[in-house]
Amino acid sequence: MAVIEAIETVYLEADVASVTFSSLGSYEHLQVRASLHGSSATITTHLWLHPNGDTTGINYFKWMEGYGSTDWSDGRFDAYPYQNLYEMPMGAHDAAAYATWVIDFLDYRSTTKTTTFNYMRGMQGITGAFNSPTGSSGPTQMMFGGGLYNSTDALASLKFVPSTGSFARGSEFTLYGLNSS
Amino acid sequence: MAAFTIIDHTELGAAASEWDVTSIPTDGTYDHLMLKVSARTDRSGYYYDEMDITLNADTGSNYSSTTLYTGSLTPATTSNSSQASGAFFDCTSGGTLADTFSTNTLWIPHYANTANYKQVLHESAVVNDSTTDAQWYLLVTAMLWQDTSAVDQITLTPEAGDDFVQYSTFTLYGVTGA
Repeated sequence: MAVIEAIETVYLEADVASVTFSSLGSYEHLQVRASLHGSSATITTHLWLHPNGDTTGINYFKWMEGYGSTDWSDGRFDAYPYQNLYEMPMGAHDAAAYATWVIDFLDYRSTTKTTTFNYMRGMQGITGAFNSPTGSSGPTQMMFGGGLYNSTDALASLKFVPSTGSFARGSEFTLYGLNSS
Repeated sequence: MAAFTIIDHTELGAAASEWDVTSIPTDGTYDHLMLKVSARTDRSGYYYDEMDITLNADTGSNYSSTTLYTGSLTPATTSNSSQASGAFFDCTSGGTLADTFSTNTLWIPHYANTANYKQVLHESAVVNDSTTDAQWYLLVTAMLWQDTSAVDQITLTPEAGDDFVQYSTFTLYGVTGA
């Protein structure tokens, strides 16, 4: 048995409103790698996550990011009904530009721990300037973030949704499991 | 050949003052090390705790670190040098929401070579159910161990002399090149 196994890949042949991983297997840790573009023509689109499909307000998330010459950590959000993993390019941006995420969920099957995770997210636009949401370049940002889902239930599903519109065709998610024995 | 191999996995059955793994193969079996840590300490009244890292049990003044971090609206950077252990590897602690553990990943590339000093890359999310400054932290750290020895031992110790709590987990992987 490989230590790291690909559990499922979802490659979007058409725009979809959400992507759900409902079989997370029996691993020690999980990792999601995503490459995403939103379909909305005019509205900045964020990547939202509903752990266990839960839409109650028990999500807490923080981030820090840099764009252009600016650094920023305006990510201090309490008791939200979703985890916000921030922006992806959308319809107004170059259609061939995608943002990338690597998200780590540690000890996700534990029933003695709340669910916590961290992620690295990057999006380099066509120009170096931050250019969201109206420019064609796309959001140029580098971000590190973390989240807390305040439940000790084992993590059994991951539902990703765009904050508006759909995930665009060509977007892709891959879920990996990391064994510990 | 598999790219990743499990060298050690420890889930604490009771509070412990350290996590220590020895006899890491240095014979070329692996090229890199990756460590995943889900940890919390019992440091009372604090929202974070540093996990001091030592390599090969070296407590000489051979460690330096630089961290980009935030626990507020303003990210910042800090660094040190000539330390007795690597710093800025944080986890949740006694003041954090109950049952909440940090997520940490460390990479030690080319850990077994004997020509170069060792670099450690680390990322940590010390999350909490709070938006108050300094009650949560995000950190990315680069650390240098100024020693050319192959790394055969890694030790993580809570900085303030407290313990890692039960259910903290430490998973060390060996990573093989082609």
